[in-house]
Amino acid sequence: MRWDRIKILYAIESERQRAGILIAIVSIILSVFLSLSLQQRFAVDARNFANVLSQNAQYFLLMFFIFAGSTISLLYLTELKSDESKGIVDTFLTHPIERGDFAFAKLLALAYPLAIATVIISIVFLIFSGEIFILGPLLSTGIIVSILVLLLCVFSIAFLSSILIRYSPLPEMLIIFYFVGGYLFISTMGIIPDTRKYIAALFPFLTIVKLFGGINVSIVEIVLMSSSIFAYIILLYLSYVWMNTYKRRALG
Amino acid sequence: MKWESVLIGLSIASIIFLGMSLNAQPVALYEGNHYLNPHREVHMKIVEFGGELKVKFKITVGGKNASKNITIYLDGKKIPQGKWVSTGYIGVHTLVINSTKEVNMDLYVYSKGESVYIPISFGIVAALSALLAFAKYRQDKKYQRS
Repeated sequence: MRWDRIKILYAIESERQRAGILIAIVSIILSVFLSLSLQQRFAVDARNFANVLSQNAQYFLLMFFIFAGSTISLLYLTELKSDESKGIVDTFLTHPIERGDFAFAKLLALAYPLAIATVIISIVFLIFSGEIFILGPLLSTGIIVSILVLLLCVFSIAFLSSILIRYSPLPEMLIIFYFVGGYLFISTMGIIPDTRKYIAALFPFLTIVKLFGGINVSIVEIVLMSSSIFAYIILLYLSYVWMNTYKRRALG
Repeated sequence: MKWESVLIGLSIASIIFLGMSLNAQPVALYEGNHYLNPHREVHMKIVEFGGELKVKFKITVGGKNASKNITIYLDGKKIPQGKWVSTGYIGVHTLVINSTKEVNMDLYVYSKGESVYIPISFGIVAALSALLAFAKYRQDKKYQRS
């Protein structure tokens, strides 16, 4: 990664793009799902209490993942496509700035303020609604960490699909398939008890909530979760390398 | 990074939280059939945002005056049936029910409403963040003109 170039492009991109609209949309989605899924009054058997709290948090994360994830990815692709149609990628990018640098800087300019906004909103909600006293400090921290990992997954998929931007609507279909298909995958895996651990391979943020919630998580699940986070980071890097190497096929 | 975008996002989210926390209707927390026997207590965790609870019982099966055989403890203190009890704090409470005879009962737990501190806090956060975003926007405009 050429951080010096990415840093300059990031400064330009953060002035250019409309991150404010995206933050407003994601804030609405986040606050509605946080309020609906976490702030509930309920009474349960004391033995299942940790399970119920963890399941509520997982349900909120899954809904947030599907709605906010598809919104963020599609908006990123739209902005990138708009830049490409204006000729910014072909006309104004000169050597040594590559297409991968530009796309990654654009992604960072979206991801950084969005991550800060989601973390601040989650902390404000957890503290002022009294939810922190119910979930406990550990599970509350787990939710915040999970949101950050969730954003990593979302941005990896958005960046990966941007390789295929010239074959539109293929990248949009890939995004919809990933998010909606992911929900169906979890629904199916939830029914079959022995296969539940494989959810950690695709959605590591759900396992993080379980781990912080004090639920027994198997070693296989922890290994799958760690390798999944690593795989998403590798996916980001490989997409970046691909864009810089195969110029004709990739973006631009 | 544009901090005013983050502040506007926080303001919008706080307004939604404020709206969601205004629901002050009494809500049944639990409704369900329980089988009580002298050797096995019922242990329940109650999540509650109001700081006040009403624990009400309806005995469906059992002998005459069966409710007299039941004792209820909320956070370790004995509480009466069918009356509002102040829990004193927002959070998780432990309800323990035991009986001297075998009883089959329907259990209802009501919550009186939300604490006023929740909407007030979200209102303050919404107003403050909107004010800060506006101030930042004005400052940027001033800087651009000069």
